[in-house]
Amino acid sequence: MINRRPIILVLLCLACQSCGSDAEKFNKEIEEAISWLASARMVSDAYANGTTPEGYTRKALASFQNELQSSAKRMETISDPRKQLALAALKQSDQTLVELQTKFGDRAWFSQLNLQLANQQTSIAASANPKAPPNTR
Amino acid sequence: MKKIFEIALGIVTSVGGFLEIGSIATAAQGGAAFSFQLIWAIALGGLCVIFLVEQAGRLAAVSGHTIPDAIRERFGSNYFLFLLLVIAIVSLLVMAAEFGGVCVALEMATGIGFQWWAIPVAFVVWLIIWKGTFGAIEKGVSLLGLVTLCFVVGAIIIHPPWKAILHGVLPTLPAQDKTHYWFVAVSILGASISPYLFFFYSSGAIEDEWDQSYVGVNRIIAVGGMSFGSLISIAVLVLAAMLLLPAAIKVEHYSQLPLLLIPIFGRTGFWLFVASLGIACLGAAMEITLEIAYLAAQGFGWNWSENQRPLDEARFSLVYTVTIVLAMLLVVVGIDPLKLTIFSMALTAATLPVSIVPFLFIMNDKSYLRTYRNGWISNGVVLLIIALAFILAIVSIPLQIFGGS
Repeated sequence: MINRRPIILVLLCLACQSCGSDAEKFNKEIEEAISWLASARMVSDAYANGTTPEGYTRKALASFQNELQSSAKRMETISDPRKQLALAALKQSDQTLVELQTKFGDRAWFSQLNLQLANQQTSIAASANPKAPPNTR
Repeated sequence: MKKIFEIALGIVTSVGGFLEIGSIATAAQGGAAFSFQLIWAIALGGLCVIFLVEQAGRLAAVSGHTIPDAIRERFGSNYFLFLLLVIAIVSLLVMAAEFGGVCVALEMATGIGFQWWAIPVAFVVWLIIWKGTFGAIEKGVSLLGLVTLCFVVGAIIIHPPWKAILHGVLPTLPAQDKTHYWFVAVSILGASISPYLFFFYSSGAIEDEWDQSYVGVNRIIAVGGMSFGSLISIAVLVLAAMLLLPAAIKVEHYSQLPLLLIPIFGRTGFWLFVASLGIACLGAAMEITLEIAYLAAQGFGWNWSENQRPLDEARFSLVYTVTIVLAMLLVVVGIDPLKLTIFSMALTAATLPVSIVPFLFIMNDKSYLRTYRNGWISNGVVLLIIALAFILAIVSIPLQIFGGS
């Protein structure tokens, strides 16, 4: 007779992993989204200052945008009342990132769009905790 | 005088060759997520490596045996084949991660996707190993690897809170995200206590023709090289804690890594990062390639030496050629180098007992080490490392599932 207890325990653990509360999942997605936006801001800021080459900046911004889109897709599946605000801010960030990638060579525009990204990052952070003041750099 | 020069060169090459994509990625992840709290993991990993590397070098200097060689003799060919299989699989993944690291550095420099660099990088690695000698590979790449000291300079320039850094040497638990904390801790330990490091070191001692008179030299190189090497990893963690954590950036993509140096050095920082990543990973890729070939050749009793002509050691040369092709294919298919790195570091931790348990027996065997056997301190530390290795082996895979990003 096979001892099934360890198998059941492992399956239970896996089930627990996949069924964390929606609020927790939402907060995790917000953290990720803020991380990708903050990365995009730092890279675009560096480009605007003439610190990073175009090739790296282009690739990095495209990667961060992809990750941000994945985060938004995962967020859509979560049932949390705060998600509409966050998704709206994520959509705006996505558009800003698209715009950034068409403005290579124009470092002044980069600085301006970077400010927009900062505002959008603040909105996303605020959507996670609407009552508290946003805490982003 | 000659010995002093060799000690200095040994320490310099150990420092230059210490950092690789695993230690950069795991230290950056640790710092960005948990500030200075995981410094203890790098310090503990460094301490373990000092003891293991010293013992590997002592075995080679006194007995003329490398570790795989002694394991096959002492534990028989069945255990050796098991070891070979486990180490070869893990090393291949780590090697692919290092190849990926070089390719990512080239992608950052040129903007051309990292997969496109896989074949040229594999060819260059193969060509250097095919044409080069052990000394040229070990010392040349490691000396270039001193560029990684820029992380230490950066960490000093940024004026970190030294008290908090010292506090990080003592293990503390985070208030939240404990599973991820332990996952990163295990990955840092996996990146530090890489079997390839001490296997390669013992083969290197044979290549450099060490004898009994090198026991003292070996000890100083092991302690000096690995301690300074660990300091570079700590510097990476400090930079991530000081620059990425306040900006709420978690390290989950390789494109985020140059942000460790850009805010400090500006444009130079970007190129310093690219050079550090490229050179460190190139050195590690060559060392791991050779380590797999050494392991097979020493275990099966083939001719082996990086100083001989490939024609005189065809099977040794065939093994490293095939290994390079396999690692290259993993990069060509486009596996994310950072994800591969984190996975392979956790896997390294899971398989540590297989390579570390034999140390305890071999290092106490009179027939190999005569009067140079382990004392009670070394045995005590090896026992602790074995206990740690078993804990890591048990927890690494569940942590990979529950705590990995």
